[in-house]
Amino acid sequence: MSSAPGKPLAARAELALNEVRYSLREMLAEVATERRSGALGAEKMHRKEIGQLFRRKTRKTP
Amino acid sequence: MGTLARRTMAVTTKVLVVDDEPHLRTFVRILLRSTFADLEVYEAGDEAGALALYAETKPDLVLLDIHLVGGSGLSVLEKLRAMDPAAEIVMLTAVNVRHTVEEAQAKGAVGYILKDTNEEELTSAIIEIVQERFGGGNSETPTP
Repeated sequence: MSSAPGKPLAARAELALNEVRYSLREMLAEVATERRSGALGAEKMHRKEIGQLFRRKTRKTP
Repeated sequence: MGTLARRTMAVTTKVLVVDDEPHLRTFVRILLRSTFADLEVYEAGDEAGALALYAETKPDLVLLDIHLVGGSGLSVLEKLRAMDPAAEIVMLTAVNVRHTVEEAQAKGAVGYILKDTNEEELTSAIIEIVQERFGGGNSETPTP
């Protein structure tokens, strides 16, 4: 048998899964795509949330 | 609406209302004219009319719907901002999808009012945005 001594096979498989990493850049790109076309993009916004989004705009002085 | 006092502005303000629903344009016109004394309201029902009327009247504020017959308000928004980068455009629409709201903001809209609400909220939202950008909230005169 060529398996490493010490830990059972199932425990080593779990460790391997814990080491999976995600690229932040790729995830952000995915979110951006979703915003354009998927579920996030179709998300409904509440009136107050829209107000907050636009409140950051500079106000014109009279 | 009848209980509102008319508010005077420092200078005459021109507002262009772009909506393919005539009753909505009428509602906004009556609301604005009955609330603000020195205010001129122009109306357009489609993209071509909006662009032509904007060029002709140079309004201080545009209230722009997103769903227009044969076109999109977002396209009108882009064209008006290209025509006049200082154009003050507020979307007046029933669309509350995040992507559309964010697109309107990215294209230069300065405000976003949801039509799909009760009359009282819609009324106060429109008045608030006009008042916020052009003043006229302090010196009240009685409704004639």
